[in-house]
Amino acid sequence: MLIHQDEVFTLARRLVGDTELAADVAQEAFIRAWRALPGFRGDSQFSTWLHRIVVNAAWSMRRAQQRHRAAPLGDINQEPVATDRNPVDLAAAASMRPRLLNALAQLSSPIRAVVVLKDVYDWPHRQIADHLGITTTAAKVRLHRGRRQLHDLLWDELGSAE
Amino acid sequence: MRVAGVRSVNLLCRTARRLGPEIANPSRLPAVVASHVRSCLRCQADAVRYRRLRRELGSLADRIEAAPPFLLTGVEQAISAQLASSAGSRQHAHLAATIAGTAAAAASAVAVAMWRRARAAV
Repeated sequence: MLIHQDEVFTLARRLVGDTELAADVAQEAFIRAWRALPGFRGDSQFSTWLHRIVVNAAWSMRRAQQRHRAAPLGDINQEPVATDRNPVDLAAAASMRPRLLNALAQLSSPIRAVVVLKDVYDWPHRQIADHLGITTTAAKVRLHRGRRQLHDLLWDELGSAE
Repeated sequence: MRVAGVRSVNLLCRTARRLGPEIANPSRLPAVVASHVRSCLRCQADAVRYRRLRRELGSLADRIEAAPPFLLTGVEQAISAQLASSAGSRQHAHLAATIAGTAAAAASAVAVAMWRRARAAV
């Protein structure tokens, strides 16, 4: 657990976009992994197996959270929230990474999950679809929307000198 | 003719824009759009933006965030609680089995004693 805790927390953080909820997801994932450990046959790498558990835990916690909230966490058609950063602030910042993480956090949960799993962790579309309980086509559509929204949110940064 | 050419270029620009992230990969584009992207600076700039976005996202895989210190403590507590609970339920099951066994033995003894008394009376 000690070896994988940072990795698990990072994936959870990127999937749910919130530190506190990510910690809950990571804890839930470790407990699930501990329960499922006798059934782990080593067909895949341990980290891959653990990542799948994190995704499942994140998704079930998100569903549970949606049930307990009057307003849904996010909608696939939801437009990203406009940033209030001005061009001077953008130019002043040295690195793009914090803004990329910020932009990722602005995506709706269903879209963010697909973008993270595909573009960050390089999961195949089919695997993403299976784990999120959607069709492969829906996964591709969400990925397309997510990349487009990120592109729009990071327009200035992406166009600056590399 | 010139106006028609400008219109078709605008149309292709709009088509390329509608394709969004797809223009980062010209080999997957329809030939006419791919050809336009190769010659249009605005579309090329957009393609570069999408490619950079993919690269930046991919680079996040190497960046691991430190988990909060309480993370494992919570997991250990939850697992310990579950272990204690299952050990407790095992103890309860053992106790219940012992009681049930004792009761069954006592009932058998009473039944045997009654049967013997009944036979002796006969």
